[in-house]
Amino acid sequence: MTDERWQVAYTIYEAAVSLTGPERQQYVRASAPDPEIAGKVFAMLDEMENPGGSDVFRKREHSANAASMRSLTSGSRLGPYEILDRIGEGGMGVVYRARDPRLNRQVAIKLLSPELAGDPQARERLRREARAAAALDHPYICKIFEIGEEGDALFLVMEYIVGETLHSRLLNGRMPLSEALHVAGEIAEALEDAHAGRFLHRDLKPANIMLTLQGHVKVMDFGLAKRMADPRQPHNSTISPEASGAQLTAPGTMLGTPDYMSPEQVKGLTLDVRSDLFSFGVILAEMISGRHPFRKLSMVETLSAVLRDSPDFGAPIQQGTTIQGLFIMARRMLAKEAAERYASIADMRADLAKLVASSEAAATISVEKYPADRMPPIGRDAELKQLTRQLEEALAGRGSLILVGGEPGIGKSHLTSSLLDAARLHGAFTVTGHCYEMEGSPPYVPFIEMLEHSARSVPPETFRYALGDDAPEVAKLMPELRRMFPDIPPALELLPEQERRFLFNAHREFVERLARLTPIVLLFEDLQWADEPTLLLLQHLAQALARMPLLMIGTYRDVDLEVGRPFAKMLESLVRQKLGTRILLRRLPLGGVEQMLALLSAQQPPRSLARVVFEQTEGNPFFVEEVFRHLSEEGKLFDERGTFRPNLRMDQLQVPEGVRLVLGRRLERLSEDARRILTTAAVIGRVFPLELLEQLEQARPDGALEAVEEAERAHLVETEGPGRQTRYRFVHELVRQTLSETLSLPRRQRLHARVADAIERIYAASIGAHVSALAHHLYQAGSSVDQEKTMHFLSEAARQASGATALRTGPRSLGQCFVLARQ
Amino acid sequence: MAISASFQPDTVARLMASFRNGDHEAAGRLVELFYPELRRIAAARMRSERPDHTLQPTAVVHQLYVELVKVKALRPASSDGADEKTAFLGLAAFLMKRLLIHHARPLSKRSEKAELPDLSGPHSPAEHSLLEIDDLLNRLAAINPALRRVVELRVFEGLTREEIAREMGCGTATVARYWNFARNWLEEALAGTPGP
Repeated sequence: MTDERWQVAYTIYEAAVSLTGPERQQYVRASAPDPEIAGKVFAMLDEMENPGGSDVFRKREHSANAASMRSLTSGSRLGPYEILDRIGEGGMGVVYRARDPRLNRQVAIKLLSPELAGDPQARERLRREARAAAALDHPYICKIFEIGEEGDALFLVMEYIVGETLHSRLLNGRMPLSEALHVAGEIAEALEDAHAGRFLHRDLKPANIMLTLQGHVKVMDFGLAKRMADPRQPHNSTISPEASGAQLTAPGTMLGTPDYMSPEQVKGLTLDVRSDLFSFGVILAEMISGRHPFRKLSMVETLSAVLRDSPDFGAPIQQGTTIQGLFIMARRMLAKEAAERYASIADMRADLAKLVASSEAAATISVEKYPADRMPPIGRDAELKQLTRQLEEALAGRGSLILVGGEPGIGKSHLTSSLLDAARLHGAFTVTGHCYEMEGSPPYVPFIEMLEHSARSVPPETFRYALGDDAPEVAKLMPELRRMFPDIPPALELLPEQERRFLFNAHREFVERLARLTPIVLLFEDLQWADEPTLLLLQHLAQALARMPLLMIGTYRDVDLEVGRPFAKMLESLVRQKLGTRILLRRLPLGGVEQMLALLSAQQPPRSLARVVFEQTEGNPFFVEEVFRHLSEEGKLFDERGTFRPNLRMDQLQVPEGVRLVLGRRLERLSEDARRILTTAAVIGRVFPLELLEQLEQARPDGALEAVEEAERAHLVETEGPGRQTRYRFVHELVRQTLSETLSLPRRQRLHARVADAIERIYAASIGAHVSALAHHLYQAGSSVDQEKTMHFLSEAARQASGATALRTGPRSLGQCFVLARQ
Repeated sequence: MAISASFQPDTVARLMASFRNGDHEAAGRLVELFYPELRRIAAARMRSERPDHTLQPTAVVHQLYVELVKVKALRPASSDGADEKTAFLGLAAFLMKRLLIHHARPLSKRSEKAELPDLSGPHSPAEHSLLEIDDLLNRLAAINPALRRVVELRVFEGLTREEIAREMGCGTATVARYWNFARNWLEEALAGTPGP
């Protein structure tokens, strides 16, 4: 604006400050030469009276409205009702507590403002609306008893509710998760019931939702509020027939908050249930994050944010899958296009119910563990900085692929899990998939793991939405999806050469839809073992990353990079095509080792100790940790006060040569039983389900659990993330190898045979899902098992592989099959 | 009144040298050192003059410059000291403008960090920037002189709403009204300007 126009705005502004309510509205509109100046003046007035962007201003506005209205004093009568006291005011008038002497019950009476009551047409509409709304009968909806008239006065008689509004509840900040779930559930029930009766709320907001003393929700003013006139857009005349017919007031007299309006409401388009769903989404986001996802300092900016900006939830303070799921739900409810939201409250309630169930399970069984005390990665500042930068870019919608390489124990997982923690803090959805060394593992294993995890964490209705029309293809990777969603149509019959293209495109579209609901970080562990189909799919996704809020991270061991393995080739081509950036982790320098020891011991280590450890471990962080644990367990490092021994003589430390030996020594400290059981676990694999181990240790059912617990205390195994079955993971592949290598070949073969046997028994009902593991163990069992059976499962594994359109992995299992057949 | 005792001329001289060589960290330190001094001079000037006296950033900054030369923190403007004066004026102008922009922002955007522009070098916009601030405040005063005064008291002197009310002999509501308008005006007026 030019200074001349500002001068005009200033004059109007100064004059309008002393006016209130409708008078002010009219004055500004009458004096301002054009909407821009009027808008500016309104924005400044709003900002001055409402500096924090809260509802304070609007409350005052209402008080001003109320002051100009006929007010009733205690003891006066209105129709048959005795007024007791005034309990509040809303957009449409003042609310009184009153007594109905006929039934001797308390009621709430809303005396409509003169502007509303004065217009005969408006009166008639309101009568009609109230009569219809009175038909709503639901425990979570505030009941309307009647609409009364006395002289000029028009009033609504409603259920009297003792409690507070959700609005005042939210002034204390966000709600505890369980409470938010409960309140959201009851609002959803109320809305579903009303929608079934063809009622839209149209003005759903925290101030319209009461929380009763009994802890229940009462939604108020159902179907009464129509299109709110927006004082900032006085010239907006695009009103749908439905809305205009229902508009109760002259523009501006019913100043409502636009903060909960859906985009279509702001634009004045025809509304349906999905508009209420949007308002509900704002409330849901506010309940769980404690902040309004769109609110800005002025109304105009808020409206613009509702129309254009993606919702801002801030950084979620709580973590875990339930919160994650709620944010995904809220994001979907807040989609700008109604078509992208849930189609109905019922769909939304399905997701909510799932989250409630999972949060209750989490509260009673185990809370997802986040290693808050995890050591920060030492000496990886530059790498972490780069990762963080790419994470920020990805959160902003520009994804990328990062490949983190290094030798075993160098800290790849440590670094990436720090990043995953950060990503979750920023509200991103993180999923991990592993590649396995195991022969004959099915193709796309990491993607399957990710799918399984997502299917468990993302609310089901929304997961189905993300699958969309691509569900039949994606279900080829995870057949269980068909059980979860029986509506998935059969897959198309495709020519073999089309199969992969369809699968890849379907998967990409699915990931893209999910990423639009929540930023995603995918972590692929141990890519050096990845099969070719997995890598091709990864490459396919990488090509579309730049315009998705999706960060992909892969870790790989550079020492295990056999030229023949598919990953070696793929790595080259990814980096060459600039589809991915590579980060190579190097060993720590002496200073880094010193820092690590300081962190592990919480005190400054003697320089000479750092040097010995550095020389023994050559700066490999995992080895440093192992050597440290070994020495302190041997009692060589600390005195009884827990400080480093002052007379620590290096020649007495006797650090054994090589970390294998150190590991061996640490394993020796386990009880004999625990070590034996853990060795069995090592044959099962890096990750082992507890139930399988128990099956193998039938002699003493508690033995397996005791052994695993002992190993967990010794930091040798850890619990694998939350899932349906309890699974453990060796902290490092080297631990598993060391254990496994204590066995002679025949003994190892025999154990593989027993594992195969146990798998067949406990997974008899779902053997299809375990074919590849079974084939692996049978194959490793060698000649001690029935060769025909081995061949059967190897070819079965191969068949499954080609069924999932991994055209080239199939033949690998088949190849093993042929080798066997020739023998 | 003169430069406070905690003000180390040597430090300033050294920082100025680094700053002229393009060291932005030094610029940051200098801004920290100068801000209290600017506030002090601004306050002194406004008290000593007529009650409706306005600030005149150029005058304030030049006075600070003279004081710094007096304590030998800066070299006087001679043939070789000329660019030191330019650099200093540029820095001071930057500081004042940054304060204005900071206050003109809506609360929600306050935390954004300002990037120090390149103020050294032969094409420093130093004098120009100072005049620009003068001009800005004059335009605001043209709408109502009280608006300018509220901005000066709040932004350059850091007074609270109550202190400003006392200073101007009006109520706090009036101060809020003035400030609210001035902030909106400044926000738009500064929106197009590059830099801090």
